[in-house]
Amino acid sequence: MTDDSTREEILKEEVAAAVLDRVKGAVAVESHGQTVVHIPRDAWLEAVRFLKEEQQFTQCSDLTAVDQLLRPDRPLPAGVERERFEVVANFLSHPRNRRIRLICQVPDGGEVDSLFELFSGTELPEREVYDLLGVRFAGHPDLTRLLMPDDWEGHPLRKDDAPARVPVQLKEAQSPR
Amino acid sequence: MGPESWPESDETMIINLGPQHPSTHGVLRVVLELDGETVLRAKPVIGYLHTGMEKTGEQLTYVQGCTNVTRMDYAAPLFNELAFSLATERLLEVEIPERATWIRMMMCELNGWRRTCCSWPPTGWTSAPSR
Repeated sequence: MTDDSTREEILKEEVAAAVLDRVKGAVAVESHGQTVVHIPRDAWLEAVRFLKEEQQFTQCSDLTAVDQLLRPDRPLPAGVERERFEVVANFLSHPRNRRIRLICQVPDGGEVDSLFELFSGTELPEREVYDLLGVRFAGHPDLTRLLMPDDWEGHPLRKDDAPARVPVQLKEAQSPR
Repeated sequence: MGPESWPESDETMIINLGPQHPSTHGVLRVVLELDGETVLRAKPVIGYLHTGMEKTGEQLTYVQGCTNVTRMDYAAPLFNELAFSLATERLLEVEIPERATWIRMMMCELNGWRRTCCSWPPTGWTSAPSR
């Protein structure tokens, strides 16, 4: 176990250090044994491009976002400015057998670059994030709602979007019988 | 009489496959652009079955969360439960007994088989031309 984790540590530092070298303002931390790099918003696309084209991270396994509205004092490493939303992307390198997580702080009403041109599979996850949280992705080919109806108002996964805001109609509806 | 023998036309047709079409089980709509019988483009439209389970999860304790995530896929609930449990345990820094690890492994193996058995028949009957 210790031998493995020591080797892991070295490998981890390699990728994180390479990203830190390339992307100005990036901050790397370890979270529960996983490598996490905080990326400034304007360098988001550049960082992912670097991972894909120069570090063999050829798969974007997930892209999502978190509304941190209720945690304005959450712990973040020094050098990362808190914003309301955190866009989170997980990448996997098959040849190197490594994973890495990138996080980007996005303010309410803010926009972050779409990863569609690098990983076309992020089209639906980005639409889902836009639909449920209202984070916009610049350069996305079709940034429309994914799960909610097109005429829906608001973004349901925001912490200030209360679950009971829309009354359940079936309870009050007249029975045909 | 393959597509190459069909008369040329620049007219394409947009049709909706689903969500009421039986083969989509009421939960999937595919907007198709057709040139005769050839599909040029297909855009899936989902969300008909979404019940806001992430929002539900916000109100639940960690133990209740396990039960919530199993409902997301009735054919393979234990994979979701395992992923949720592993993440929760990692965040809380909980170590589970070896016995639990083996039980999880066996349950997920069984679940994998069940999932496979559950997926092939519908694949067959929804693609059967005689239906």
